[in-house]
Amino acid sequence: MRARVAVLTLACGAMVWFTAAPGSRLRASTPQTPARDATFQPTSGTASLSGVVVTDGDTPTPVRRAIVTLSGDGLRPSRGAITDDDGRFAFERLPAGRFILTAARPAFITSAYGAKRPNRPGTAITLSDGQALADLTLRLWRGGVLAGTLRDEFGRPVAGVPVEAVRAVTPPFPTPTLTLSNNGVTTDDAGEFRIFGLEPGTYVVRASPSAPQTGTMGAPSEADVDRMLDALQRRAPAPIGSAPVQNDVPDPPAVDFAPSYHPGTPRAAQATRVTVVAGQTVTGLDFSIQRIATATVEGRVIDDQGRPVVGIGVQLMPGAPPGPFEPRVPRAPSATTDREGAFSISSIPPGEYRLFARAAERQLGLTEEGPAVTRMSSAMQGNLLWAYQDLAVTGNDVPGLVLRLQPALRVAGRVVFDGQTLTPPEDLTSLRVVLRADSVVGGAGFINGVVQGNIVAPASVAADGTFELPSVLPDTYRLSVTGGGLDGSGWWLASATAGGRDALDFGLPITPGGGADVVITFTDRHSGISGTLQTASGDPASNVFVVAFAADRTFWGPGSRRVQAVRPDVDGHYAIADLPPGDYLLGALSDVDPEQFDDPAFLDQLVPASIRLPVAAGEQKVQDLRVGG
Amino acid sequence: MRGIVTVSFAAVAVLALVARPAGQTPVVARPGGTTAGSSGQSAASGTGAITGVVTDATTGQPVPGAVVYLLSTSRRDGLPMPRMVADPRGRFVFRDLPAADDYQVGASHFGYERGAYGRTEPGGPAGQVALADGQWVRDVSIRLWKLGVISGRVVDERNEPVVGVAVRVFATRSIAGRPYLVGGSVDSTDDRGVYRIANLQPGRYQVALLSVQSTILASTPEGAPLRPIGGLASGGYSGNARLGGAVGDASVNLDDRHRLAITNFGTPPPPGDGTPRAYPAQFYPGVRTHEAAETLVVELGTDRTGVDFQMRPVPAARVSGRVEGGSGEVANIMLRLMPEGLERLDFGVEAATTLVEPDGSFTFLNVPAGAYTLVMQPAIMAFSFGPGSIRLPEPAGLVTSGISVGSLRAAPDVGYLRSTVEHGGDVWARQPVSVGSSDVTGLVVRLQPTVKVSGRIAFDGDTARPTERDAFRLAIEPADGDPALGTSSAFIRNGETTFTIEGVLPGRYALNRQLGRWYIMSAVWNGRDITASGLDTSTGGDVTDVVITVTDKAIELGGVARDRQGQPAAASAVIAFPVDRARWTSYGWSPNDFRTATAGATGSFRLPYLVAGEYYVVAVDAAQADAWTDPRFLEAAVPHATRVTLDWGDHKTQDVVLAEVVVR
Repeated sequence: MRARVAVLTLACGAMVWFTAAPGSRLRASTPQTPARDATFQPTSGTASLSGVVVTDGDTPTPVRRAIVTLSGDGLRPSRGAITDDDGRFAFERLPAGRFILTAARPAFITSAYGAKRPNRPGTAITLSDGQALADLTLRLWRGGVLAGTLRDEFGRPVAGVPVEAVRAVTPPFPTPTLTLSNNGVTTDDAGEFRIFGLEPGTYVVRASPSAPQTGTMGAPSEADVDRMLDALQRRAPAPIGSAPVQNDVPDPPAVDFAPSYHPGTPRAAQATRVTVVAGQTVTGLDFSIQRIATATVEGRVIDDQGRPVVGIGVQLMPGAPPGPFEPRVPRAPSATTDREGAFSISSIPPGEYRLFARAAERQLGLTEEGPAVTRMSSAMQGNLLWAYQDLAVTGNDVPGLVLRLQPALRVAGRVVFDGQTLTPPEDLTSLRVVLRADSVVGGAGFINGVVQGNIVAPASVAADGTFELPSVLPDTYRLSVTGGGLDGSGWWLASATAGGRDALDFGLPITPGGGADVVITFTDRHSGISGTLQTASGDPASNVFVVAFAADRTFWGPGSRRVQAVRPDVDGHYAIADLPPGDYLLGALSDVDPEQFDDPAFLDQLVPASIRLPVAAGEQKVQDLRVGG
Repeated sequence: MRGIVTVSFAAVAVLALVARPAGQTPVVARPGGTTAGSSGQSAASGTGAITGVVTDATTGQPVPGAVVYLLSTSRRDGLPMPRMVADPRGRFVFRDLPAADDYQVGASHFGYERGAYGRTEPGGPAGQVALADGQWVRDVSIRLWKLGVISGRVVDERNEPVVGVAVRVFATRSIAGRPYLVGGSVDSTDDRGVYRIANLQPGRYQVALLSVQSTILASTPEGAPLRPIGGLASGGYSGNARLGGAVGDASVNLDDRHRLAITNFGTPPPPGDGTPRAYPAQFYPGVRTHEAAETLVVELGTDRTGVDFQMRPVPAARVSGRVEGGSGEVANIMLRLMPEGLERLDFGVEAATTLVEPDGSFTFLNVPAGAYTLVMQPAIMAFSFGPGSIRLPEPAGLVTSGISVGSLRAAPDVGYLRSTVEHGGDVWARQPVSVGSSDVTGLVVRLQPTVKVSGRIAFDGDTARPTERDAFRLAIEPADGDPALGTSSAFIRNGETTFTIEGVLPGRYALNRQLGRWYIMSAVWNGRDITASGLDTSTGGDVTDVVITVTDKAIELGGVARDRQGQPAAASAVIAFPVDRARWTSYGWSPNDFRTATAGATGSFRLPYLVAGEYYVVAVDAAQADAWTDPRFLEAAVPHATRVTLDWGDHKTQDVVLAEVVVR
């Protein structure tokens, strides 16, 4: 009987990491949805809103069967409606308040009212009691399509291979965004793929074929096979128990499938960059999958006294954060050391790697040969021993590596509440200090050989506010504090200083031989900038972006909390909350790509057209603006 | 757990590649310097060789580029075995192999069903290669099959393509001697409305365009429970956090308390002022029932195009009422409205689903006219067939507390998914609901308590008692295989010898007689031995004081299968089945008195895990390895079979002769 084993994979489980992506700094200023409430009463009121959804373009046509969603702070739950055959929708009995209106339809790009381009923030809509807002026009953009055929080296279609349209994004951390995960398909039996509903942007197309089973994979040429068969023909049958016969034909080179980019290259940098505008269909993206030479990496793991460590896991991780267009969830091949502390990992494609071993100290037991890992646990508890070595693999075997375990580093500190009106939380013990590594090295966890995240196990805060992370590996970390009911409490994470630098601005560098002592300060004094935008004629200007960015260039960079942009509401009001105190430049832009704020050169261009504005600790600066004058 | 559930079935062979145990085969680091990467093995070298060719089973042409791999369970060194890419003439060469008598040679290539040496039909059993030291096994031929494809296009009443809607294939499978309609692969339409379901084994299929009207409560938190099943394909609804909207917000308010979740089904026309309308599910060609559906015959290489659907809105009604009975909290219990006759199918086949409100009332929105069965149960179980992963469209708002998947021994290509429902506890309901052109109101759904089955385990003679370290499941399975009854089990550990199986629905159940490292000799309830007849819970009361007597004396039947010339019948299928014809059906999903084995290269076979009884043993062609699920095959096999009596602890040898069994 063919026994079968079922394997359950929860697709949504994998999504957990994806959704942990830090929010974009470019926010539509609408709070998140409310939590579950046992005594639920839907909100209702006397205002109404109606309009039509149309396609983008010179001759807009109605979009039927779109789902229009109205959400807002005072609206529980958010409202949804389906457009009719004329693209029309209506919401009745609405409360007064500020709302965001979005429309969605499969193969279109979910768009917000007032958005100038697909996937850009929209304009908030304000309604007063009894107001009837009619004839709103919501533009919906059809997504782009990328299609083509995948073939093998013999020109035949290959089926069942995952193909993705990968967008070059430069988020502050190598973390995929939710949008990207939607861009993958699998080639059909004719080798064809069709990825649709794409946001406008620049993409590369990547296929990720994989071969069954593990073990080295030889790819002999036709002549190689002829020679090997010929050698077997000539070989006399060996007597049982005799020594292996020396082969006079060398083994064929070891290969494996590698991710392949259109037009047929394993290198992301050489991939075709396809720029897609809304509604565009790009066909004919035909390319071939690749096999590349692989190598075997071998070596030993020893403890600090030079004794072999038996049974410890060794993982080969990417040596650097992935570049644009490169896979963000790489496979991490691994092996376990044997009785001599030796390991061997085969089928390694060329690349930069960090070979990595670690175990909790208490997991190590002694054998005659030396320390043995008695019990592997995924929990990162106790003193951690670690070792890594960077290496470049080029298709040649790498033997003779030695990893010497050394103790991990300690990060300690305390959480301080600096309040003027609020009293600090009574119980600090539900707070957690979380470190997230910039690379995958610092806290990488593995499930089934796939890097799952880059977060160090969070530290609990003691009743006196102190905390300790005893086992941190050298890397640069982003620090955050979770739990404790602080969200919405009025407390704001103002600073996290170590060695005179604020980790919230510059990250927390942990170097071998060092550790860190961090003071994390929450304050109830919020500083920010708000005001109203008007056009030259005095009307509310909502069709722009307002950006505040630090005057000091050293604060510029991906993910800086001192660079923030918002869109004003329909009444022209804008508010930028929780800016750290300092000197800011305030400007207005007609349109902007959020990623441009990561580029210092872009901010430099804004400087001449900006107003300089000092913001003191706890200060709520009001600054009205007039544009287009 | 919520959202998309992906179930995949992997061949057991994958598990043969265990992590290398520490300290068995030291890897000797080579002297310094680098050498070119090569595919040679650095350890466990031998003197054997296996060579052959990979061909397309239909055309007979070589398949260059196919990846050929070796498997062997007797090789204990745990080292990954080498793989080879077939050369431009489809040839492969494995050299320096250590001796083993159970090499399997597999091959895989994009777009083909996996092949293996000795496999004569897609999905059939693989043969083995015995390799001695110094031996060269040549001309190993591996065939790869291109399976069938069904494709089509979905448009709406205006002939506009419908994007992101789910289409699924169905087929009939014989389980425990009865035919069941079982769901297979799912695809969802692309931006042109096109779907394509590939990798279909030869067989007869029906195709359905799914459409579930999923009602959720206005109070259902936005976000996770609303997660659209849009993961079926790109282009479904995806919330966009950057716009400030909730992720998965594709739902519409039809009244103050209820919302219709729009997931991977057609977005209905807006209710407007007139009658609500819905797109009902349909089978090809545009019919509402599977009885009226066209059966599509798929053969190897079939590419059946034009299996198109047109969605047309029909008037829909609102079905409301309240639940009664049940002692606990009723809020958020999921009620499913299954089309009559399709109650045994899984997620995505519901005509409508809804959640019960805290006060016990419920409303199904947008239900098309039809005859339905309203179903509620503590665990939802369903079968699926086919290779690879199947993403099932879960109803919006469903919250499960546990999911288990497995395969059915009683139906070799069928797997199951069992989802324990978070809300509802130990009640069930099942009642017919007829929906016409007007709303159904005041429907009373009676929640019935599920049954508990309890008892103790007795140990025969000197049978070892469980220790603190033992942990095992006592499982009962619907005797006639009905997935709607589901399986229930008791987890027994810490040396316990009593058990309680909770959440059992009324019906007749078979016992799985393998119990950890023991075997059930007998099960006695009310003075009657129910080991063979099964446990009947249909009276609805709890079943107590079941005494289960177990033994640790395992039974094994071994021997050699030979052909009529006395040569080893390598790769033939050896089947043991009970003499008692009453046992040929209604044996649940894990019949302990049916076992099959594939004869090795020397014709030897092992049939372990049997229970005491009278058996027939027969050797047949590998293509008939799964034929035992059909009682007509068993009848035809009896004249060719050898009769064997097995008692507890027996390790018997019985050689068999390959027979040609023809089922009329």
